[in-house]
Amino acid sequence: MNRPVLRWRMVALSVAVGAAGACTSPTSTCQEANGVMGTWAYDATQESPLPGSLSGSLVISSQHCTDFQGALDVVEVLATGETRRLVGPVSGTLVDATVARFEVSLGGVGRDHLARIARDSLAGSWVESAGPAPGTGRFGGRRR
Amino acid sequence: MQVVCVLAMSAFVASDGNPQDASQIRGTKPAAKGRSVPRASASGSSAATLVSPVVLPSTRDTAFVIPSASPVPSVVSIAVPASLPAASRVTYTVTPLIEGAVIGKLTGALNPVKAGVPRSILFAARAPRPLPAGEVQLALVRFTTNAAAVEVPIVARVDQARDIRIAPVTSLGVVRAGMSFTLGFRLTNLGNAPDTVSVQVVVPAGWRVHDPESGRPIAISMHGTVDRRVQVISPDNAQGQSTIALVVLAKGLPVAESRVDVQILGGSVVTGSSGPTLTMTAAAASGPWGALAHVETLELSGPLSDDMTIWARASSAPWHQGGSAYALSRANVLLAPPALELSTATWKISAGVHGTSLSELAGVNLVGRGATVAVTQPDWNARAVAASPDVGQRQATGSLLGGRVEATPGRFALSTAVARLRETGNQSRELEAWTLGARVSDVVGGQWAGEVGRRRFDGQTAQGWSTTYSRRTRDDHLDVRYVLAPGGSRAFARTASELVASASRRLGPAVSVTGSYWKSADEGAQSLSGLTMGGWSLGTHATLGDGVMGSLTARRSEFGATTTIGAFGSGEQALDASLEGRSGNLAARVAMTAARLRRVTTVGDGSNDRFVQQAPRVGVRAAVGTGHERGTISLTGQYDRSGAGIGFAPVQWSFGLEVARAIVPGAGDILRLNAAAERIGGIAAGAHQLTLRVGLEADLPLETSLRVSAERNPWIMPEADPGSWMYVVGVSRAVRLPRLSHRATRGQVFRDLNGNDQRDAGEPGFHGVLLRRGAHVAMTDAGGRFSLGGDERQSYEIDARSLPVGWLVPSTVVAPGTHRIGVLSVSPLLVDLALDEADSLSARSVDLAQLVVIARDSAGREWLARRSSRTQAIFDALPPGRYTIEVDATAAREPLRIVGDVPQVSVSDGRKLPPLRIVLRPRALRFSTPRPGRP
Repeated sequence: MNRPVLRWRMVALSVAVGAAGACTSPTSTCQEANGVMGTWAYDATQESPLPGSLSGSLVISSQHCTDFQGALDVVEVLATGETRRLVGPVSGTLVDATVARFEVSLGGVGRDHLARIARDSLAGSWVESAGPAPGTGRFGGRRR
Repeated sequence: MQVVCVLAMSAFVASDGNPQDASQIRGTKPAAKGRSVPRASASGSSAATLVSPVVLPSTRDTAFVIPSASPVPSVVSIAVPASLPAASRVTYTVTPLIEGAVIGKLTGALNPVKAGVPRSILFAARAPRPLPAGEVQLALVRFTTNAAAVEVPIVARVDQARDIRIAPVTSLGVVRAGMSFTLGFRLTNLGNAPDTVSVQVVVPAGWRVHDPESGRPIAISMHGTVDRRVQVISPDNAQGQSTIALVVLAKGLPVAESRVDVQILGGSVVTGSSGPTLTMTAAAASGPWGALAHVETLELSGPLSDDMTIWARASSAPWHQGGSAYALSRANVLLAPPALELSTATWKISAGVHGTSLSELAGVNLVGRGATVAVTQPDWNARAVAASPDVGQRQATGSLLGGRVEATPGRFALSTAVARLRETGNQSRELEAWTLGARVSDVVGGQWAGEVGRRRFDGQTAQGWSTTYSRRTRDDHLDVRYVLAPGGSRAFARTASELVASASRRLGPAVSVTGSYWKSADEGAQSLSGLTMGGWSLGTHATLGDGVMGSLTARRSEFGATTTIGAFGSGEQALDASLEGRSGNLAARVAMTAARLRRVTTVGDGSNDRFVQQAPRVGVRAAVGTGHERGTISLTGQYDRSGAGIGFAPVQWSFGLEVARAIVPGAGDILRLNAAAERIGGIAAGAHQLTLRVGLEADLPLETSLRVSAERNPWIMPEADPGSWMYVVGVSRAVRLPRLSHRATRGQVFRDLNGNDQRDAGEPGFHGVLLRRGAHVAMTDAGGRFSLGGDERQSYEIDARSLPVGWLVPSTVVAPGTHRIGVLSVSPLLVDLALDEADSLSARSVDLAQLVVIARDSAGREWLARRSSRTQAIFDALPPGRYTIEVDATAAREPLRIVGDVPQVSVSDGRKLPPLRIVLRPRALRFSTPRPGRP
């Protein structure tokens, strides 16, 4: 007599666990997340330790719930005027409907980004966390 | 028959079954009673010189074989041939066919015996000198009766004795870094048989050998020589002195070895009158970005004058954008704005776009377009900068002005710096500073430095200070730095405050530990209102075995940043382990990481929601490769896995194969192949999975190199056409320019073919000779010319090791003011001594080893020959000149004179002289009638 009740309880528990595990991001439901999929024009400045600039494109190629992945492709102009091409993978999360946090690996070093998204543009700051004298700067993007 | 090896045997006995004492044998008269003893040899033994009036027909019996001849005498027992009747008296004669092969008296007689009773003779035989391998007849024994004669050859079986020598043409090679030189060597077979060997040229890592006949067998006749040459190419970063080994292999085993030191000429070394090297490069790239991208660059590097070095660069298009910048880098083209550096031992000027620093408090990371001057003197040094932060690409204005002076009278140093720095634009920084500093050496084995300063920025003024301590020994190091620089990166400091420490210590011959700690805080430049960093690491490195090393490191790092959007931070705790091994040319490495990542984000929109994400991460990287002078090949692979939203990808993997600088078969060493393929999976989707690259490098004449490559790299062109290819071609040529001025010693090294110490017509210069004066080094050019730096009033040296064998200088120390150095060609001369056979009977007691052979030159100077054997003498190195060869027979028993004219030889250009044969004859005795009244 108790077996059907137990079975339904297990099914309900499984659905609950599955629903909770399906979305581990800070956002409570996927429906609230803005889509960041697509190509963004990316422009950034470096403020420390040396001035510099980066420009290129940010391509978000996949998004699952609030987690997204892609690649950043930029040309960096160093303070000395030298240029170099940097390409690296991107992985991030939508913190809420207007704030995105993502990390990109450029030249083997990670750069953390925090950006506010307003429709088809984004803007924020980045930090390169390597050693005691980090690289910092700001960046912006427009959806293409 | 029997053979017994003894250490010495001078006795001579015979046996006929009835033992006879040796006196009976010794009592036998040589060639007695007119018995026949044929002249069997021209070697001149006493027995062989007797002439028989009656010649009996002789037969030859089976040879007696000594299995393994050596210089140690063996007792040989030779039975009287059975064909000779026992009832007959037998005389015998032992005729040595090789001088010294038989010891003792050589003739005798055996009495008749009863039938069936064996008779034999005993004597000692040996190989008196190295003999050719195989069977060699040492002597001939002739048994004679009244009616017949039988000869028994004594044959020695000689084992092969391998003796291969290898000698380089020069014991010191000279080469410029990145260039090639010819390494010559001579193989000599001093063994007793023809031989076949191969030569392996062992070069240091990074060096290459061009030897089209590498590994091929080299046949050398007995006592023959073979000359070979190989090209050795030094790596671009070679410096100092290296050693090359020449290893001779016979049947895979080393049998001889020789080493050659190679002096690498660096940038400060002057070859002839050469100046800086101008490298011109043109490159073009084609790809999906559209128009053909091209760029031309110039780089000038090297000694502008004897004391001044220049480095300069310029590019026709320093601001290439997009994929072409990456593509052009494949042709070794660096896109950069123009820059210039001039430097001497006491000063340096940098102009164009460049960067510099004054001090921790007076400004670091000053980058702009302008000039910096640095002066270094024994008691003081100074630096000044004047530049604009506008480097052409960034929208920046302002000025960078500052200077620093330091007095260094002894252990203590005092310094002061002044700076006025302003940069506005996209990134604004500002600082006015004045600082005082001190530095002390030998503080607890290290160096301490401190600085205090007043910093003015953003309308406010604050005091800053810094201190550093650094100590380095063979077994440990310690570096500690603390800086308090108000204003931080907004005011030309690295951060507002930082504490950095690192240390290492060797705990034993195979184990060392390292550690580091850092903590910093900055007020942020513009986009950040605050930034903190911190972390530590602790690791150990150990040598686990021959060529095997391992390491284990624990580390933690974190940062926190505050922006107008909110705050975000990240932290990682990780454990890294690696294991690497090397065996011969094979190397392998495996590294693993296990980490825990933590991200914190706080949105500053009033809600102050704090989001924390945590996830583990694991990663494995492995590589295995092999490399030698003909190229390298390596396999790589990696796998990373982390939680969703943390790290660069939830799962990422790749594996690849790379071939680098592989010499293309059949094209000599001028054509090298570079190729790589890598497959990437995980984060990248579809077309991002495979990168391919193939390229060729060719070294062409006139110091020109060509690079072509094709690459399919979806990471470089993710948008346009990930599967498309880009193509690059680049040509580079290096030209050596003359130097602007010379204060050094200019001169020439030439081949003094006639030995008169003057350079005459037809005496060419000597290429590749190394000269030194203190730290200054020079090498002669193709015409023998050189330009050697240093004080002209001081003498200099010529490195005789850089001269080929057979050439020498009268003195390796060259007096000041000497500009022409004659190198003498020397020639060996072999002299064969012989006695006149026509009169050998009276001269046989002469020991030729007692003779002294002398060469007397036109100036009357004597050169003594080295004796190599009883009948040979060698002059190893006779300089150019005309010589009269004399023989001093004072020590000989008999008075000797040279038959014929007194020999003369002429040595001119180092050519090999033919052996000289000198025949000697005892001086004739004069008989005269005594005069009356005299005895």
